[in-house]
Amino acid sequence: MLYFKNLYSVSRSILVGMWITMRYFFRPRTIVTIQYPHATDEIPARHRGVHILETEKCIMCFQCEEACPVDCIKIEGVRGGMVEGAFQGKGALLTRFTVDYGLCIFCNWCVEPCPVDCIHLGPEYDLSSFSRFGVTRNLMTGKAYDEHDHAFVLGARDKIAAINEEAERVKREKAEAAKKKKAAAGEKTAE
Amino acid sequence: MSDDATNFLMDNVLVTSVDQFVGWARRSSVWPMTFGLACCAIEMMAAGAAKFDIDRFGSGPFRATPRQADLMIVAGTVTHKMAPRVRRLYDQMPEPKYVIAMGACVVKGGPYVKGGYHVVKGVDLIIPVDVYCPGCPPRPEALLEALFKIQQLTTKEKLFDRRRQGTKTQSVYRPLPGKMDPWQSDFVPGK
Repeated sequence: MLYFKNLYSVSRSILVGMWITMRYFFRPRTIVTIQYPHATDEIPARHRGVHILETEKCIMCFQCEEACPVDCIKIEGVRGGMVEGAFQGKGALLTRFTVDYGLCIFCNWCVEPCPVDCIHLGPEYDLSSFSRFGVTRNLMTGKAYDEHDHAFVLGARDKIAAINEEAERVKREKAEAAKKKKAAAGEKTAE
Repeated sequence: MSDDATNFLMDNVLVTSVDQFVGWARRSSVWPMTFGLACCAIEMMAAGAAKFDIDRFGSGPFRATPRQADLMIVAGTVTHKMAPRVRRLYDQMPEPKYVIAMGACVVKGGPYVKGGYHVVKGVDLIIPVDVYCPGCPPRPEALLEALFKIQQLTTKEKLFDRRRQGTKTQSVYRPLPGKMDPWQSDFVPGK
């Protein structure tokens, strides 16, 4: 008797278990697969992907560079003066604004301190490259940072140094002139 | 076989047709190795699951042994303790073999680049890498893009290429002395 009872309970449990699987045959059809290269998944609005930089808003305050926990952002540029081919920010000329995605962990720390809201994390995700150095992005052009960009940055460094030196010299001269004036005024009052 | 003879064979009409056929066959059956080291492996699994279905590109069978695998997806942080095992697994794979460096940790060190005393700063320090796929972690689509890049390499490949030139398409990173830490070193143009 126990034999038939076992037989019944085993076959019943198998049928119950299989029915849970079998139910999916009779449900209305839902396709979960996304045909990726032809169709893309919906990217959430707050997705943290490749940076988007609004260069014309950037004031070159270096806050994002300082906030970055892995030092993947590199900014170079100059305030005042003229460098051929540089990108115009707000009161600053930017020669380099790159993010090294081999280091970037998309933590959003560069977005938070920005006083003018010019850097964002965008919906793009594809960064794959054949080379270790191809994963660095030039955010101002939105393309990979290549040899030409690097040559331009290296060339611009001398110009930036010259412009900064000139600005410093003017500042120093002004300060000296002011000092002299003050000293002269002081002598006058002493007399 | 001498170089001249190999060159002749490579330009031979018969072999070029075979090249195309073999390239097509290899392209459509790149079998990756089951090899997850950290959180990037979760995205690798997601790429293998129904929504992104890596099986559509012939890379479904994740082999549990390096001897049956063509592609090594290094997914996750490679610690110094794991590095010899990674190298050994790579050596055990049969030619032609490909490597995807998946995730920021594997590309250049990622979040561990400054304080990580225990992390290899880029897996290309120990094995040659074909495609770099940064992200923290990269989306499954980004991994699929990296796979497409591997397929591009495979398609272009000649029949004798792998054995003759070995690591021509791959890059091994040899940092300059005194510049071991990649976040300190500046961009090096070219490869």
